[in-house]
Amino acid sequence: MLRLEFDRGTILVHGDRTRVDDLKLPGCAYDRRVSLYRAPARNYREIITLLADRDVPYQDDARSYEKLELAFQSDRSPFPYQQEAVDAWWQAGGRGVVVLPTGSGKTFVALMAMGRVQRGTLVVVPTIDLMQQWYGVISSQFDIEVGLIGGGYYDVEPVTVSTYDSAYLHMERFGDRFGLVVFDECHHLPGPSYLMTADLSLAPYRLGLTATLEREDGAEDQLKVAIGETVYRQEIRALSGEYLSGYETIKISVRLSPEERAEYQEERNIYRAFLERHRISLSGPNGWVRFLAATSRSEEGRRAFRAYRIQKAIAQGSQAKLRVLERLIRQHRQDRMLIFTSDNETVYRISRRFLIPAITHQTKVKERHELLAAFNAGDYPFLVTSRVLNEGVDVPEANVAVVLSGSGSVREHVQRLGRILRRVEGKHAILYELVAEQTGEEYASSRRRQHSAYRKSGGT
Amino acid sequence: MLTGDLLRVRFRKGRIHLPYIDDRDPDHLGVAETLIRVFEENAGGNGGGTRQELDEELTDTTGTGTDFLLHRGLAKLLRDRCVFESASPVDPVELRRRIFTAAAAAYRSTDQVRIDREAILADAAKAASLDVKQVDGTFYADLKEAERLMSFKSCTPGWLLSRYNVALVQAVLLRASGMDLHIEGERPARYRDLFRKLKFFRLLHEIHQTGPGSYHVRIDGPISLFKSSQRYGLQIAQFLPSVLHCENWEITASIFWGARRREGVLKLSPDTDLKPVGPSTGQWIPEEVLWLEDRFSRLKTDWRIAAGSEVIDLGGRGVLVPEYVLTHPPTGTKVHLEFLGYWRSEGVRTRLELLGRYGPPNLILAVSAELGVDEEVPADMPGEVYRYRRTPVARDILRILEDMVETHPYASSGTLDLFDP
Repeated sequence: MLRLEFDRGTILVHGDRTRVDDLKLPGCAYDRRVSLYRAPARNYREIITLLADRDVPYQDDARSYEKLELAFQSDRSPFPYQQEAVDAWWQAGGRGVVVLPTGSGKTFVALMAMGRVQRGTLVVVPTIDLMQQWYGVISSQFDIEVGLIGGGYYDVEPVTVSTYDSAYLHMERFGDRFGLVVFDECHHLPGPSYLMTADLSLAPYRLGLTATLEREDGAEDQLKVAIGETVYRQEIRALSGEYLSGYETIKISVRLSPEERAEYQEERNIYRAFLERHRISLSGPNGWVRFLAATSRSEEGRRAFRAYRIQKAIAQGSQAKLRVLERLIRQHRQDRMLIFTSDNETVYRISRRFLIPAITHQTKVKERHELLAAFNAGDYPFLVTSRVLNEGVDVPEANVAVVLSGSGSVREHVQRLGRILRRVEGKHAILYELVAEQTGEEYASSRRRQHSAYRKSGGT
Repeated sequence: MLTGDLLRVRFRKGRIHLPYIDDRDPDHLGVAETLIRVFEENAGGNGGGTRQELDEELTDTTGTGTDFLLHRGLAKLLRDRCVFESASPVDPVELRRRIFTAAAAAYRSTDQVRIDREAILADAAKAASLDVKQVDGTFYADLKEAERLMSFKSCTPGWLLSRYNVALVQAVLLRASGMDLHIEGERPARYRDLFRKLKFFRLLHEIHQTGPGSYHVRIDGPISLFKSSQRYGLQIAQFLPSVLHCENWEITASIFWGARRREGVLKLSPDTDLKPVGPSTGQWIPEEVLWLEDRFSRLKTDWRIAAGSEVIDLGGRGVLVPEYVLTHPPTGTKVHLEFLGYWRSEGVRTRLELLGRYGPPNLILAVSAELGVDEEVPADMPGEVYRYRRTPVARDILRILEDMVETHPYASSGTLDLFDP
């Protein structure tokens, strides 16, 4: 009789070679190193389906996940689109990607999927904050012990939350223990490393969740293989008002002070001249990589790199911007306002200058929890952060966001907007975008505003 | 380990060339000594320098000359030998909570145009029994750059330079999709150690014998069967130091380097002049086993004993490297002698199972009674099992050999791998 075994992220097929030859099992190749057929664990479902279809008896030593009895502890009823999403996913065989805007309750969709599948489940998330958040939601909704992998934890339970980094490192050890894998913010998955995570797991059920499927490199095709087709999609504008808060976006142009303008121009000239001499175009193919390589080769190059950083820092964190920020702080002191910057140095500068709590990747889990809780409770009206709050973390009470500086990435911007859109009765959200006049920021701003979420309201 | 930005790799005709340094070069030794001194002086309990101070001093020391990549690389290796911790007179989290809470209240009270920053800081200082200047230093004393260097494991300049060369190779092997190792003429204990390390790092091997006592070992992982993957690069890099204790070897590894994943081949051999940087492990052999060779060669017999050097693959799950090989020139018979499990790390039971399934027929497996695994030796073990009490007895082994030649079905037919041609 054939026997399937899980070996470090692959499936080994034990049994007579000629017999296995004939079966032509999906994904299998003959491995001379161990004289057995082997397949990536991802193919497990197709393999056992084929064996069952042909009535081939086999012993399954590969899967070691358990049947669970997850029961919701609260009788919260789903929004219609959440129910539709889970139904569509289940119809597609319990595989596929659900695209819903930030703030629309993707986590609840995953919990409903877990309730359907009732198998050991691994939730993979991009950040430690999200890991903590999922941990809290799952343990309270299902009243179970939840395992954690990442951020110093290695504790595998039938239901476990892991970061993408840890899942990549350890999946070959526990890829047999979960029947369902939920990839949260699944646009992170494409790329040679993380994608491997999907190969090394044998989970027959897979759910991808994201608000922003479009990756700039168009790699979402890889998700089809790793998770499944896109089975459900709702746009941010369709849900605005009824399920998400109404919002407006306001662009504020900021003029650099004469001294800042002079320094900006001087540094910018240095690095532009270097680019020209070396015929490098930053927007061209591999432009950034070529720039880095060229600048590390000589004293002149290192000076050019410093010039690049200084001019960018001036545009992003100018005194003029801080003056506008001070005005907004005064204006919104009765609101709940998030301030976003693109670098940690500015975060701490603002934190020290305005005595506002800060969250960066350096903030320890406990303090982070405390700050978020105090912000949500209204004890702190302001919070300043760089990129860590871009994704997922729940701050339902936030109604104002200030983007002090950011990249040209559409996804980053939509995610930041999403932070303030969680629906609360009577909330009207405002997103301010501060752009330094006549600097590279104007270009970045126009790029990120190309998303449909921005088209309904103009700037000032 | 060195990160990718700390080394520059050159490609020539598909080969990767690394900027190895001469570890006896007086200039390099001087730089190494200076760097080590900077770390030693910055270390020292609560009085130790902060990460930022250390970094600034290192920048001054290493300068921006042409060798700055080398200098930064050396500094990185030394930084890996440090322990940093945050140290501050009061808990910064506590201090911040006090300040933020007071500031939030001030913001919310609408009668002020601007909050009185200095007053809030002064109040916080008073509550924490600090002076106002200290508050500024403690505010974010728990950030990484404010951490202090608590201890530093020092080393000699020469060792640091040797370590640097190995670290260059390891940094590149991180991007390896697999590695081919050619090796010959090692003692059994060395072979065993190598394959034990492969197992420890969860790598897979495929062994081809390329000549008497010489082998080609292909090293990668389970998923490599389906796609070329750098998934096992870290494990391969960690495995490298074990090879450096060997005498006769050559490594070929295919690398995908940089953001553009440019493909190149890295070749290493003893000529690369990489020095072992870690202790040599697994080389201990009990005396009674060592003495057997001497006692056996005094017996009046045509059988000859010699140290083994053959690696026998056990179904891809392990290897058998018999301690001794016994040969009988008149008949051309060859028998392997293996001692079960006097190394501890491997489960004796799994070992017996593997030997039962994949072991060669011309094997004498010596099992010490002290292991207490008598019942677990499979009845249909290929070859013979020799049980002994404290010390293996040369004369007993000779008796088994003579029986084997007489009774073994293949012995008279002159076939199979019992015989060397």
